[in-house]
Amino acid sequence: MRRALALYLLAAAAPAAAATFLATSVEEAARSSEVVARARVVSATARLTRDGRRVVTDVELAVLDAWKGAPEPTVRLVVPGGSTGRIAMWVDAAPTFEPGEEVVVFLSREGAGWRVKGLAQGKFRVDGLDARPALAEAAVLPRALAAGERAIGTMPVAELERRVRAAR
Amino acid sequence: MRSALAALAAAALAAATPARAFVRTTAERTGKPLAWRFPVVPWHVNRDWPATSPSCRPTPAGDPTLDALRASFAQWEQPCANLELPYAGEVPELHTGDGGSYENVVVFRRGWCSQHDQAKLDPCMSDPDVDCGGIYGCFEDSTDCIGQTSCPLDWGIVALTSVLYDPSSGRILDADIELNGWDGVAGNIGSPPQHGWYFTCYPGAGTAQPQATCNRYGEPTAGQPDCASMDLQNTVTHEVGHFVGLRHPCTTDRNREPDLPSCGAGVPAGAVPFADRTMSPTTDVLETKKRHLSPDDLAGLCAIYPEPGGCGCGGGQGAGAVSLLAVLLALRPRRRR
Ligand SMILES: [Zn+2]
Repeated sequence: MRRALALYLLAAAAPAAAATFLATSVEEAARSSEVVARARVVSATARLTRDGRRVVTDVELAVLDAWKGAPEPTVRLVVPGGSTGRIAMWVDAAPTFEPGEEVVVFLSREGAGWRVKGLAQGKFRVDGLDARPALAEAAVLPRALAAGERAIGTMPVAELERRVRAAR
Repeated sequence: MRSALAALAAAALAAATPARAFVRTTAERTGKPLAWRFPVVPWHVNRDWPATSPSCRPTPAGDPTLDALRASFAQWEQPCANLELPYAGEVPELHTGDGGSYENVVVFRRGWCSQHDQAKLDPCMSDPDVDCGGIYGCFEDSTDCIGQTSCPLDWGIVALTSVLYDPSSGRILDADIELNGWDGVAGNIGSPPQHGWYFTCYPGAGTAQPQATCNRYGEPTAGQPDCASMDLQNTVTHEVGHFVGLRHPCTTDRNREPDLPSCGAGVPAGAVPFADRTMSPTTDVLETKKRHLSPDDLAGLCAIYPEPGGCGCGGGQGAGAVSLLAVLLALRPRRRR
């Protein structure tokens, strides 16, 4: 599917983005999210927004474990960027999702669906025993964090889970 | 003499080989490096930003905000580069992305939409197809930031640059910079800032910016007569580097960007430390050193947009050091024919 789309993209336009983020702790992220879940990506389908200005990707996740909140077994969310048959939009600071990928996501409710908090800061990819944040081309602004809290970054999945569950 | 030249040449080579002097942004899938097609790229500003810090406020003597923006773009107009970035005036455009016209806009977002009286009640907040920012001029954050005084993930975003390009050629078609500024509500500047980032505009040469960090919006008040916060020119000069097609030269997390060296790693002799480059991915309040390009940032600019008949430094990395090496070799006395 993605390869077929890529062929169409050759004549299309694709935005890239760069952002500056403030250093944020896992605990802060968990406190400000309605749901934190470990999940597997079922599908990711790009489309144009209704006004035709941007491309967004509809993502369907199968929840494996809810670390915070009580999400439905299937969670649907929308992220900026992606590629349709006609046009592609790559938003560097936005998270991307690949079918089959295992992720940890920090979510807030948006209408009937969900959104990932703080662009790429709100998505981790599970890679073996590690969880890796999806921060892309992002500048990170240093900031003092509360004692004992850890900034978003690559860490063992078990530590990420412990920190999310302990955040109050 | 010869050994000194050889040592210099070796040092230049060492600088060229392991450290990337600069890194270009490349197109997804095709890997084409991004660049503007034509050497004159005008930009506009949506100057509708009523709530500025005192140092950014227009006076009869001038407009520090516009001066900071112009200075930021002007840093990327250099003698070695065939690129002009003329200011093309004000526009009312609030949207970013493809609006049907390829107009490059710098737009000030006025705080977070969750804190905006109308935006927070508007269905745009929960409709992923509609960007509230294009309607209300705020930066769209999550609905669960509504009613909060701290929303760290969403309010950590200081600025966002979007570059529209043709992936088959790498040609940039449009680029927009969003600056997440203050919404005008007084009070303490939190971390994260509840009412947007408090940009300050202190001029460069000869006028030192205050060393006090602003802790309240709308200073000077409350016994803090003068203060600085997030330097506008510092922020925008970095973002314009992305606007012309540069990527960060190093990463703060090698796991997610394994192709880049770690920003904590040292650089070879002769190279500029990562932290001192305009395109370094880390910044802080009060910082102003990104206002001026380091030799490595300059090498990147001039490699992407070489002057016709110039050095032709088309390489993706280390072009500055490589051209230095070429000069040294040319200087070397020839004893044989
Ligand atoms: Zn950047």
